[in-house]
Amino acid sequence: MTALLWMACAGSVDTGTAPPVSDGSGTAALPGSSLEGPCEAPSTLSQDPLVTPGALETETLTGVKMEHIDVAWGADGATVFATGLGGIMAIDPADQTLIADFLPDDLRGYHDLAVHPDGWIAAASRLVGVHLIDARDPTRMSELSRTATDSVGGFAWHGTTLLVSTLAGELLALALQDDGSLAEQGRLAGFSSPWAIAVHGERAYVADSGLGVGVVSLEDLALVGWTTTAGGPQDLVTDGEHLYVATGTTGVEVLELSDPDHPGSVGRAETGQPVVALSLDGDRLWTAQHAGPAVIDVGTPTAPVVLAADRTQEWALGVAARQDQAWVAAWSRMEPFRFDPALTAPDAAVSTEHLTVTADASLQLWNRGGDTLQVVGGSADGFAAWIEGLEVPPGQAVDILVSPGDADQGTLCLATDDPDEPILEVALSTGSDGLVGAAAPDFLLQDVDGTSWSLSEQLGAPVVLLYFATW
Amino acid sequence: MCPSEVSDAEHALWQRYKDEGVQVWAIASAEDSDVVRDFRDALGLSYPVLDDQFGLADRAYRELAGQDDSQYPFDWVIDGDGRVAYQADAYDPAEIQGVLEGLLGR
Repeated sequence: MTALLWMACAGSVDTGTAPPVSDGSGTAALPGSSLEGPCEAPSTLSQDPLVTPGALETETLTGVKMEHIDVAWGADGATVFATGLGGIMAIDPADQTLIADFLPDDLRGYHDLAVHPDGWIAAASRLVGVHLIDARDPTRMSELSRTATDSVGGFAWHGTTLLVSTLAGELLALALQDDGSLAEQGRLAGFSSPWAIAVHGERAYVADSGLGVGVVSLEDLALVGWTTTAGGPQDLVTDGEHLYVATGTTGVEVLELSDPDHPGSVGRAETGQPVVALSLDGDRLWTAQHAGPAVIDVGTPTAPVVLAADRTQEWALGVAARQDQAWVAAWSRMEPFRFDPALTAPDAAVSTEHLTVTADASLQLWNRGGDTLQVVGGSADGFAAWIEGLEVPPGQAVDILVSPGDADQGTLCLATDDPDEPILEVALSTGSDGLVGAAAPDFLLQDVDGTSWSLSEQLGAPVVLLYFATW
Repeated sequence: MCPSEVSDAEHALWQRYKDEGVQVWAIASAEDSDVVRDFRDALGLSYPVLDDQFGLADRAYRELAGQDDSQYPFDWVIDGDGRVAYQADAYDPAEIQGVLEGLLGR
């Protein structure tokens, strides 16, 4: 542990010693310096390598709230396709405009998509299954065929064969016919929740959030084996030598493919946010995580390095990168990002934006950038806070300890030299609202399929209640 | 709670803990039932999406938290004894996972 810095609420000025950290062990005060003055960003900041030049507000462009789920580049690099509740959007990535939007009257949107090099798009809908779209001319997209399947988890093209994983736990091989229809060639059961497929050579790798990464031989559509990862796989991409697997809260895991039937874990990168989608652009792996995109250098796959991260206004669900340009499907917006590999900058991120401080509590300040992060100031209104160090190397974190003060609620403010977001705030509360341990109100409600659920019938097992709105 | 958070909970909570008996319920308050069903279908949610058409559960939990319409604890974890183990007004899957791990005795 390096120098401790005391950050208190009321602009205290005291260089030299920090107040004792009450860790319960009765240890003496740790050396450090106290923070002086307000939480202010430095006046000059380095240039951010990851920037967004704007966004497409799809709601206003199409009249339909898009709620984007997936995004991919067209084969020629001149078009970006995105799917969501508004259908399929074709975007001109150069001038960031909508070329066309396609949605048949009887559908309520598409979710996943996979672009074939010849201009066909496989798109999935929950109402039907698999749709084949002719997108050779993006201004005039049309549907060539529909194939009824169980709910689609993911897609991949293997030549003119479309591989489809379904949430019924099957992998389907559908062959593209001359008339645009898809004919089933075979199916393989044994999956749990297969969300994505990546193909290399005669092997398909299936990201199954319940079981791990499944290896499938495409010669005979047979399951070769499973590789488990630290978290449940949600997406995966491959360059033939390595598999990059999005494992949710644990980040990205790199598996090596020298034995294509037995991928072995060789590296891992944590971005600090649950990673849900990936896109590989040469040596740079782009992720879509809750807060937005991140760029990871995978030039040394055993030691991937997070180079930069940024935020989207709404949550990011999909990413498609090409030549240091990426489009992020961020719910009702499509957000383009550019990465400049010549620049490096620090990138600050906190492990939580809401900290409950019942006794001493801690959070981490991460540096997700490519340069050392400097903490230049901070405050903790109504609470007392200590930081483990003022400099955070790339890929590292420092602990921040917070103790209750004289307030029930407050804000931890951190000022850094992160050019993108120099001021970070964390909501602090003492959790003294007495809710924990209170009897939870019982209710009896029907789900959208008509099944009744009541809380009192679930006694014995935990229940998570997520109140949400569809808008 | 934002719609994409409901989507994230499919992986981060439901797929992860369903085999251990944990229930995950998304609850939509005072919304059109067809809209809620379309929404569930579009996101491919496999855990129950409850239709709280008259806002009954919504109101009960808001009263418990002592908060008005504008400020609302979105996410709750109820333990096996029917008591509140966690509540938060911002979706934090890692925190919920931590609470569930504790309740599952890990």
